[in-house]
Amino acid sequence: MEFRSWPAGSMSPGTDPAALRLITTAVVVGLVMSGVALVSGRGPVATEAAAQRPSAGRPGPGDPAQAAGLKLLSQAAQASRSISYQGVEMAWWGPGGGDMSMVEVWHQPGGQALTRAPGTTTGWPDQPHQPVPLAGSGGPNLDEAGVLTMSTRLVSLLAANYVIAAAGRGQVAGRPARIVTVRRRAGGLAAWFWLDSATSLPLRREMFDARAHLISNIAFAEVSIGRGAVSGEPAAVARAWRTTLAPGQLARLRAGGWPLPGPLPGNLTLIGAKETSTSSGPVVDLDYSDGLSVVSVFVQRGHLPARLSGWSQVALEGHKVFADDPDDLCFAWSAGGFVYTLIAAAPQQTVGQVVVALPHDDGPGWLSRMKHGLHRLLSWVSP
Amino acid sequence: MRRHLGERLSALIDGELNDAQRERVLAHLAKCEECRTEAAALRMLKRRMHTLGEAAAADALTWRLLALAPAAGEEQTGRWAMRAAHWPGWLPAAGQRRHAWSLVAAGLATAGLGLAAAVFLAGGDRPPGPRIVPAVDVFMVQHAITTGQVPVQPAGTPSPVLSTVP
Repeated sequence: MEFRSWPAGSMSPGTDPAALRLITTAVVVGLVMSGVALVSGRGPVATEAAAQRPSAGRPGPGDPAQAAGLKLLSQAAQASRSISYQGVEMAWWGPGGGDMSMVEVWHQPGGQALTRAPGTTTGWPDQPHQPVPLAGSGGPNLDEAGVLTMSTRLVSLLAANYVIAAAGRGQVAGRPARIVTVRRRAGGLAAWFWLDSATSLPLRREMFDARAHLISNIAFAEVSIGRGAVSGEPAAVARAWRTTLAPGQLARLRAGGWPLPGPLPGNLTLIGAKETSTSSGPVVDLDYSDGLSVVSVFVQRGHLPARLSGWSQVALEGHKVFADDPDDLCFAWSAGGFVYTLIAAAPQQTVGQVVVALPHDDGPGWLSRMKHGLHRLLSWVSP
Repeated sequence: MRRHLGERLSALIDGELNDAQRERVLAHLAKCEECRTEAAALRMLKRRMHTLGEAAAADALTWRLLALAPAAGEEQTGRWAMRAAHWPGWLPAAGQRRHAWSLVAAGLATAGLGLAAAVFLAGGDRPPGPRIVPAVDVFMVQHAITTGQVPVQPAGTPSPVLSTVP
């Protein structure tokens, strides 16, 4: 796997003493966790909480555990918005959890979590959340795994699409935690959440694909919670696109030919739509989620060149697309006069379903092309 | 009044008289200078007419045969045959006609290929809209915001700009 290069002139993580300390901490923690994982045979997910992990048995309808689980997640959504905290999050991503990244996190009540890769001292065009490579492994972006946060909307989607249940107690980063399981309605574990026992703040999350393979694990390696816990918070942040598209605006765009799907396969609900202007026209960002996975689809008028520097062409569910990095779950293609860029924090099966559901131009056969050409020539002769 | 031979001269020249009639006609010609002169004129006329008739029949027959059985495997079309029948001198020699056919075939093939190429090219659509290189870093920031995080952008640093390939 290739890493994105550090920008020239910026201080790399290897030259910043603070970054070195964080990286050393992360590596040590990672090695310890990997060692435990090897012993337990479960991949890099084992912590002290794993020993206390309850069985993933499916609760029955009306089980008090379900109500307790939903209540815990609702409290987690509230805590994610209202509690001050600061810490270092580590994320493992990909089959076997072999890819790892680390990020510093700050949060103040009412705001969103601010994230920064250790050692990132300059901004654009630096990577906003630089992955930290470990020896012999790749480093995906943290956004693939998301951060440990929860919102009321996501909890409602989770409740609609999954079976939630309280499942016991554990410990993360030295803090006691309540564990919540998220199971698919068709059966099978989809995720574990570890929520701080004192505040309900999410401390750890594991996600599994439909075959119960671990696909991501994100956890606080260090965390300080409460007033006065936050210090050294960065002054400036990247901002979301200002223009939020209302349903009526989306409808008008669709009437104008924009291919902006509503729900997508995999129980993905459209949770937000934003727009920004560029020199080549507007770009629409459609965000989908089932409460657990998040898929962003960026749509803009135009077409992709035959080759994209830094991208590779891959076949995904029978369609030719460009991949920013095969493990990044970031794909782009053009069809019908629009360019689609898909970025996902979701199982690959879900991503495949989404890619199939979106428009594609796989090229007409020569016969259709000849037919089209004949019609066009005849229209030129006799308009 | 002496009777001349009249129509019997034509019958004599055409060989239509029996022996007795021929003897009587010849006996008359021996004594009648006027009938001998007339018989000579009739004989000359018939010879000339016969000569002309043979030549015309020979040419027509030749071209009709050519039309029915072309030489050297060259198939003669009905139109060729009609032209040959009406204007016997119009047609070129067989070798020249084969050469002309080759030229016509090559011209038609070239025109056909050109037309097919034009149809194929016209059938291809130039991709509409501008050529785009996805601003993936910008998109990833927006995606990260959606997932709940806001990557840090230090103060004083210009925001990235979405751009297209010219």
